[in-house]
Amino acid sequence: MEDILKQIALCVEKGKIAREFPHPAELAGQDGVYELTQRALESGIAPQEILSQGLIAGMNKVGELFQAGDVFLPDVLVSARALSMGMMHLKPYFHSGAVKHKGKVVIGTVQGDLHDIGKHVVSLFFEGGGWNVIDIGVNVTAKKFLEAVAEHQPQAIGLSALLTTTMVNMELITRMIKTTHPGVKVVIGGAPVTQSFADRIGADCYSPDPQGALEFLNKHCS
Amino acid sequence: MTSREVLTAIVKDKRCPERMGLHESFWQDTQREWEKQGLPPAVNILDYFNLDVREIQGSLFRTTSIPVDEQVVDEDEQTVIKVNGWGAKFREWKNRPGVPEHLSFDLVHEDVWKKKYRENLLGLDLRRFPDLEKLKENYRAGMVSDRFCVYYQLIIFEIMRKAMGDLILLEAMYLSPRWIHDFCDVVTNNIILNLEYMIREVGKPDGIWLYEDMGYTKAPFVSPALYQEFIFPYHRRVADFIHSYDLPFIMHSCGKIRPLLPHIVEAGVDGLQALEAKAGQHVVEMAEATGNKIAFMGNLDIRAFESNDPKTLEAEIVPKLAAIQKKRIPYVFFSDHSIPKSVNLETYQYALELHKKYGRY
Repeated sequence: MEDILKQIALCVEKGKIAREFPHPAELAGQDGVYELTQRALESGIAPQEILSQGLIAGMNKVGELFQAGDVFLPDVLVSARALSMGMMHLKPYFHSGAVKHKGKVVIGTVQGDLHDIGKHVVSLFFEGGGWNVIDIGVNVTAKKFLEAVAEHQPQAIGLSALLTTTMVNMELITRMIKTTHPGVKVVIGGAPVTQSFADRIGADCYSPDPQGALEFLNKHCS
Repeated sequence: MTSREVLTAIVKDKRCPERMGLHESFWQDTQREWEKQGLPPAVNILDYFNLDVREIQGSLFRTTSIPVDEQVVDEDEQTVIKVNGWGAKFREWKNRPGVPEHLSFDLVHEDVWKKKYRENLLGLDLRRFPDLEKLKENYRAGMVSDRFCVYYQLIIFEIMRKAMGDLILLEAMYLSPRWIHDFCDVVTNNIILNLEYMIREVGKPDGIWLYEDMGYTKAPFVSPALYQEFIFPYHRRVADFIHSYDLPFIMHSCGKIRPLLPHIVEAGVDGLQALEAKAGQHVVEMAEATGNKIAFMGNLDIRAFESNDPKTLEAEIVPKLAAIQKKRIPYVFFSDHSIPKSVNLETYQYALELHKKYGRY
């Protein structure tokens, strides 16, 4: 049992989606996450274990490597694609309640900013870490964040900004969330954002990379 | 020395002439803001500040497969949705700069590339040049001045991003490598064909300035290995073409590209611009790593400009220029970003004073 979970984790880490994909070269012709997850379920391994010890474990390794600068965005994207193949098999178990997310995160790019790539990558890591991500898009007003928090009741919100001129909008959103939903953690990130800025506006977490934000969620919100 | 002589010495010959070069780019709303602060209305801002480089207007030929300008297909009060000649849709702000939102892409697979987009790029198509007569006029006006005049254009990685978007592109490098190579091969040949036509029909400039954005704050978008496999051969091909006309190849890239630097130098880039400081890059370290085989332009931290504090600006600029002078690094004084309207006119004028005072070799 452990072997197949380790194989799933390795395939997520290496971006081995399914047998038919030649990437990566060292795993060409071998089963990928798609086949291995199916086989693990057929052999009776609990879906929650497949998720945590296979899929999430693999993505967590990618996060660590990405944080260290040892892998790059294409590696992350292909790993996330591989992970999604496993998640496809687990979908019915999420619906039935046999598999549970660690919690919910509402994520968006703040008002004044249309940038969506950074947010997308962070979402991939959160999903790969077992979180249910509700992406409310770009150019999101404080009001829309508040409405999303009221509707989805997340444990945390993630705010992204690319520009110095738009990161100031994080302050208003953070203040409003802290006033109306004090239990919801605020996680911020983006090119111009710094720890001192996060401290000044009262955000709970700043991370220069997705893995740091995920670790915060796992530690403080699940 | 004239601007042309100074920049040629720095970028083409990698020498240190009497002074460091001087150039800048500005966000579109900066000039309007500065007019409120005393800048004379409607001046040519590059002439007003006596900057060294002139981009020959009109040289930005259409690189999309279908040679059309972006079309507005929808809008609201603040934003417009545009579709480009690759069938890609983006949302942009109407009246201010910013990175666009990627909405959708038509070019999502090799089959689409082959059926709809590849063939258009196989030959010379004069529809790529919106106004050749105006371009010739701009060229003549530029070349009679003493400025360093460049043709400017997007290049391969940036073109791929506009064609298929970051996510499809970056995934396809692993999942559809044959497609990415074919795309790069065809598009590079087309860029060269058009540059060649421009040089032949319009004239030879002082340099060619090509725009890539290959990094973000933390890292390059691709690893050095992927750069070497997918981008390097095409940068090299473009560099060889440019050098065949005895011209220098200047490349812009935002973000952290330090890990790619040895490959960029090997590809034949002569001048590298932007060198974003907040990405942890330092011009002196980069110059030392390359042994002055390349000229550098930029690296002055925009956050120091945005502080609008003379002391902060001095702390950023003066030691950097002193080190550049001491190490004799071929260098053009330039922020690491375009100047936004949050920088006061007075601040920028003070930066120019610092260049005048400390920017000599």
